[in-house]
Amino acid sequence: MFDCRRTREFIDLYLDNELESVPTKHVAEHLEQCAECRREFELMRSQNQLLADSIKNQKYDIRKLAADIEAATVGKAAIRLPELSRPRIPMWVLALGCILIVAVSALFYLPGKMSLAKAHPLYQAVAADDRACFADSAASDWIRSQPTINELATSFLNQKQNIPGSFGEYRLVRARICNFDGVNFLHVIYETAGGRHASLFIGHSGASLPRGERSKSANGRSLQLAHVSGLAVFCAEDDIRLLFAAAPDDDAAQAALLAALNS
Amino acid sequence: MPLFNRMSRRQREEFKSQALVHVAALMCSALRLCGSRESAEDAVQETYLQAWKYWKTFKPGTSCRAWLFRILFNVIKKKHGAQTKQVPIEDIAIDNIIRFIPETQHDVYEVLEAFERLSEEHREVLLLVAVEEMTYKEAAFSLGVPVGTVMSRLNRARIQLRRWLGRTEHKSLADAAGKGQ
Repeated sequence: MFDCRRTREFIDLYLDNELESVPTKHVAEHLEQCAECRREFELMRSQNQLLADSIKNQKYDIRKLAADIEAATVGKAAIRLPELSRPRIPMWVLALGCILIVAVSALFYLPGKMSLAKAHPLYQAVAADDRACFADSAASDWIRSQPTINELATSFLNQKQNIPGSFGEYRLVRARICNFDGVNFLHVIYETAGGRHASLFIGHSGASLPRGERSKSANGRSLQLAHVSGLAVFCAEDDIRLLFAAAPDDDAAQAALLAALNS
Repeated sequence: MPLFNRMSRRQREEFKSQALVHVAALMCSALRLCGSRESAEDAVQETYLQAWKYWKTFKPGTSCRAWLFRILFNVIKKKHGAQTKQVPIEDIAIDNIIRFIPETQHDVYEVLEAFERLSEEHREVLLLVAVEEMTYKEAAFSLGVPVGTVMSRLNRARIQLRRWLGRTEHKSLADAAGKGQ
């Protein structure tokens, strides 16, 4: 049996039913025999009871809160889930759907940004010549006189056709004959006051229009376009001429070609 | 949130039978820990929404009540902060309880006033053990502390409570402990 000191060491645990069976028995025996410890224990128990009762007995109607909580959790799921429920879509179907969306988007987006077909080698040759001529602007074979250029162009044009002297901000500055794989072209260079340039190549129309990376229509004309070495190279032909226009940006190259076709 | 909570019928039934039955217990404690009745209601509702959200993580066989109290205490700490003012004790349904301790004539108001003077951690541990009659282990889980901490807090809370109640026997208790009768 415990003495008073040992009993009071364990009295909290005894009150809370946390003691093992052996010490519980010792405390119980002591409380039975010691009036002072028993009184102390009864006081603790009364205080505990009063505290518990006063906290548990609130003037508060719990029913509405309980109903609200049930409605917001279990009730909501029970009512709404069937309305919202739909067949569970397998992950592979979702993945396939995503791939299809990306593929369809690419079909609309990529043609304007990427080469979808391999262009005719002439586009490569035109771009290479344009780069070379631009770097070689001081060469002696350049013709800078407008009448001489027009005279030179006559062999590539019919009587009704001319070489445009300008288009937009671009002005004709020089020209010379170049040769692509044994075929002569008149290479005409246009420049703006700001230093931008565009090239026009005029040759004799061949058996078929060299195919670019994609086709484009502008002003009722059917054009071929390829992007080579950072240049936009447009191509078109009329009854006797095969025309290429090259420029760093699409708009300038297209404008050069249309100006030549309409002149 | 509930719209996307895919609970099986069995899980909903379990939530209803195991968790929703503790609304009253949680509310009683929240009223003693929050500054107003509205805050207490908010805290209990938030507790249940969290419980509903994470119901799948609740381990069957453990104490759901202890788990809910753990969430409640976290919600109160996060959203409402430590409150020093509780819901007025006039709201107690005095007719339903014994109004005083026969041995000392301390009435319910004195006990509650002393309770409200306790620190938050002492109030929490008393609420769990003395009011909710949880085991120390359950209380330790609810508070997120070791069992030893529960015991020491409980002991200090009770000593403090008796001191504020002007319990002279507290002195005699200490004396008895010292003398080793």
